[in-house]
Amino acid sequence: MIKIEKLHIEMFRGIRDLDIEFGKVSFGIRGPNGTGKSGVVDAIEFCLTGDITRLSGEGSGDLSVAKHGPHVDVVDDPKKAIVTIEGHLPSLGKDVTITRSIAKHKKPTVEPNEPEVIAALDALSGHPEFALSRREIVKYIITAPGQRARDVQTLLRLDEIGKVRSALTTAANKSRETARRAATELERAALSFRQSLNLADSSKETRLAAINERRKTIGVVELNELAQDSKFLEDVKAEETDDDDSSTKEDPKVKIETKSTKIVKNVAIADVEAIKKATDSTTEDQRAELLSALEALSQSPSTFDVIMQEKLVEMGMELLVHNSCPLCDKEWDKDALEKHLQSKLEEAEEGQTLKAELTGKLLPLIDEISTKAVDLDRIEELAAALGLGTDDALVNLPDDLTTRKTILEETLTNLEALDLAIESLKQPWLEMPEAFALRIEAVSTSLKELPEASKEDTARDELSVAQERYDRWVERYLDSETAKSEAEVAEAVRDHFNKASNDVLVGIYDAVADEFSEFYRRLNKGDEDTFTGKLVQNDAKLNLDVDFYGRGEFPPGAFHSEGHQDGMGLCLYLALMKHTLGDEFRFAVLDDVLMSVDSGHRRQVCRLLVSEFPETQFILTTHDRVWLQYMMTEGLIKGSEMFAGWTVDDGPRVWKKFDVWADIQAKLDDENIAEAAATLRRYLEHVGFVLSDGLKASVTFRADGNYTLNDLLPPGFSQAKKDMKAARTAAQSWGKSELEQEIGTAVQTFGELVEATQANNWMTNASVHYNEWANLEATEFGEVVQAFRSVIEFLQCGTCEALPHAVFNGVSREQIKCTCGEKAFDLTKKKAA
Amino acid sequence: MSTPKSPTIKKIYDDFEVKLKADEEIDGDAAARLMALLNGDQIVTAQKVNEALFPPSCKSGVGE
Repeated sequence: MIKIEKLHIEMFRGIRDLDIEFGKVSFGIRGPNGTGKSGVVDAIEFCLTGDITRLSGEGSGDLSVAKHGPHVDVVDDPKKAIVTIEGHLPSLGKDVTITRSIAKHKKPTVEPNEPEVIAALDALSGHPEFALSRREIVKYIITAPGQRARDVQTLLRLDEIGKVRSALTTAANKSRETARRAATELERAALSFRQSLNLADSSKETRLAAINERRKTIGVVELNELAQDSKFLEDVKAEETDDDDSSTKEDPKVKIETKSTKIVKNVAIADVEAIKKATDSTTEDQRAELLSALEALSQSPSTFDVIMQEKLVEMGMELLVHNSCPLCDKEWDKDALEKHLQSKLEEAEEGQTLKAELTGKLLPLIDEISTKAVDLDRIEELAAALGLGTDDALVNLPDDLTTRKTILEETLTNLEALDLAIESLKQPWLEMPEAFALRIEAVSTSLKELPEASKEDTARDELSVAQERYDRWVERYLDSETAKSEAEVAEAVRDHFNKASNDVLVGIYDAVADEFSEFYRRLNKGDEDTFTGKLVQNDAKLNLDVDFYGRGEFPPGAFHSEGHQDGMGLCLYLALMKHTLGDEFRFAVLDDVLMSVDSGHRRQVCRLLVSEFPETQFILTTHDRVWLQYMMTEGLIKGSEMFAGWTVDDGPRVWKKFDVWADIQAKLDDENIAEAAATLRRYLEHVGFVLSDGLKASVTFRADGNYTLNDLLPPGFSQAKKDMKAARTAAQSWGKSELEQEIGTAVQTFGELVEATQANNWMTNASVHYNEWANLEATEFGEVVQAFRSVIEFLQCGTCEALPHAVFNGVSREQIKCTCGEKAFDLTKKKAA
Repeated sequence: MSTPKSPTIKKIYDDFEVKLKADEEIDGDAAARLMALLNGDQIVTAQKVNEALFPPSCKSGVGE
C-alpha cells in the first residue's frame, strides 16, 4: 500500500491543472456536486492502477479510459492527460513517484524504477477497491446472494476461486457425460456379442463355454480362458476355411471381416429378434418434460443467447492475443477485453446450469435415435444380403434419423434447431414407421427360410461373427473404463477443490462477519449493542443475514433504514479490507460514502476509522460541510480542501490552494467588480458555514437547509467573540493575568476588524444584499475585501489555516481551537473553592 | 510478469494440492499439470483442465 504525499493532475477528466498536498495523512475534500471531487478520486485510481472504474466497470457501456479519461479539450491528444503521485511505500520504507498518462496508461513511469517498488505497485493495482464510491459500497449489502458472493470474492481477490470452481465443475460434468455415453456404447456392444452366440448372460464362464462348444464342433482344442486378446479362430487353419484367397489365409482378421459380410443364420435371427423386441428407452413423460423445458427456453431469448454465447466467448478468450477483438478486429485493450469477456462468462453461469439440465434431458433421446439408426442399418444389411431389394418407404429413413439426431444435438446451439426440436417433439416422431416393422418381418421370414448350414460351418461362422463383436466389445469396454476412470478423477478433483476452498472461505467469512458485527455495533453504540451479522456460503451464493433488534435475522434491506445499510456497507468493506490486507491496509479513498448516515453515527464512523485504522490514510470526499467538519473535529482528517465551483475552462476552484485574495485582486485590476464581488460572496458563504458550524453558533433554523451569508457569517463572528470573551474570563479565573490581557487585546482587535467589514450593514439590508458590491468603485470594493480578509486571517491559524471550532465536554464548551491545535483558547473557568 | 496470487488463493491452492497428492487415484503428473495451470496466468477453462488431467499421450487402455 501507499501513502500519498502529493497529487498532480493535468488535463484529466474535468480537471485542467490541479495540485493537492495530502501530506501522507487522512484528508477531506468537500465541495458541492459537480465541482470535480470525483475527478480527484478518478485521478488517484488511474495513477495507481491504470484504470478508472467509473469508465470501465459495470454499467459503463461505451465509455473507456482511453477515450474519456482525458479532459474534454484534449480527447485527441491523450498524452497530455497526466497524473503524478508522490508517495511513500511503508512496507519498503521508500518514497516513490508515479507518473501515468492516458496515452500510455499501462506503462507508468516509476521512480525509483526498482523491482521491489514495481512489485509493491503491482500489488496495489491488484486492489482497485481502495477507491470506493457509495454506489459500490452498498453493493455488498443490497444485492442478490450470488452477486454478493462474486463482489465479496472480487474484493477479497478471490474471484479466481469461482472461475476455477466453475471450470472444474464443467470439466467433471463433461467427463461424466462422456462416461455415460461410453457405458451406453458398451452395453450395446455386449448385447450384440451375446446375440452372436445366443447367450443368456455374458458371464465369463458362459462366454467361454459357448466358444469352446463351437470350437469343439469344428475340432479344435478348447480355450483355457478368455482374455481381451483371445482369438476364437486363431488356431483354425486355413484349410478349414472355404476362402481361397492366400492373403486372407495369412491373416485371420481379414478372414473374419470377410466372413462377417455373410449371413450367419442363427446370429442374424437373434439380431432381428432383439430388434423386434426392442422398446423405447425414453418414456413419454421424459419427452413431455423435455418439450416443456425447451418451450420455456424458447420464451427466454436472453437466456438462450447466454447459452449460445458461452462457446463463442470461451473461444474468443482463447484467441485473445493482441489489442483487438479476434472476431471483428475492433481495437480493444487486451486486458479490458479479457475482463469484458470474463464478465460475459460469469453472466452465463446461470445459463450453464440450465444448459446442463437440458443436456441431461436431451441425451437419452439422442442415444435412442442412435440405437434406432443402428437397428435400421442392421435390418437393411440383412435385407440386402437376402436379396430383398430396397423398400421405397424406408429409403429416406436413415437420413431422417440423422436429421432428427442433429436437431437434438444442435438444440442448445442453434435457435432454428430449438424451434424444430419443439415442433418435432409435439409429433410422435420417435416412433419408427410401420414400414420398418413390415421390413423386420420380411427379413425375419426370409432368414428362417434359409437352408441350415452344417454344424461345423455354423460353428465356424458364429465364432467369426462373435470374434468381430467381441473385439468391438473389448474396445468399448476399454473406452468405457477409461471414461469412467477419468470421470471419477475429474469429480474427485472438483470435490477436492470445493472442499479446500470451502474450508478456507468459511473461516474467512466467519472472521469477516465477526469483525463486521463488531464495527457495526461500535457505529451504533447504544442503539444496536447486540447486533450480529452472518455471512453464510451456500454453493456459489453468499448470504448476509443481520439481526434486527433481537427480532430475528433478515437480509440487510429487509428492515434496516438506508442510513443503517450505508453503515453496514462501510463496516463490511472495512472488515473485508482488514482481513484481506491486514496491516497493509494503509490507503483508501471513500468517495461520498455514508451520505444517508445521520450525524450521531457519522461521529462514530470517524472514531471507528481513527481507532481501528490509525495507520491508514483515508481520502474522503463529501458534498456535506457538516460531515467534513465532523471529520476534522474528531481528528479523522488532518487536512482538507474545499472545492467551491467548477468550470470546463478552469476545472475545480479549490479555496485553500486557490488564492482567493489574489484572484479577487486580479479581477479588481481588470475592473471586473461584478466577478470579484461574486467570488468574495461565495468565499464568505463558505467561511460563514465553516465558522458557524465549527463554533456551533446560534443560527436561525431553515427547514430547507438553504442558508445564506446573512444567516451564517454574523452569528459565526458573534460566537467567536463570545468564546474569546469566555476565554478571557477563564484566564482571569485561573489567575493568568498575562493571558487574560492578551485575550482581551484579541477581543478588542477582533471587534474592530468585524466592525470594519460593516458586515451588519451589508447583511441587514436585504434589499441591497451583496449585489450592491458590484456597483462600487474598484477602490471602494478593495476596502471591503481588505476588511473581510483581515478578520478572516485573524481567525485562521497561521499554521494549519483552519478556522476555529469548539470542543465540548458533554454540553459544556471546553475549548475553541484550530485543527492542528496551535491556536487554542480554554473556556473552562476555575471552580470556586 | 505473472500476476501475484492473494494469500487466500495461495492457501486454497496449497490445500488443494495436498488433497490431490494424497489421492492415490489421481496421477501425480496430472496433478502437477493442473497446479501449473492454476498458478499460471492463463484463464482456467474446462477444456484446459481436461487437457491437464488427461493429455492425449496418456490416453491408453485400462485393463479388464
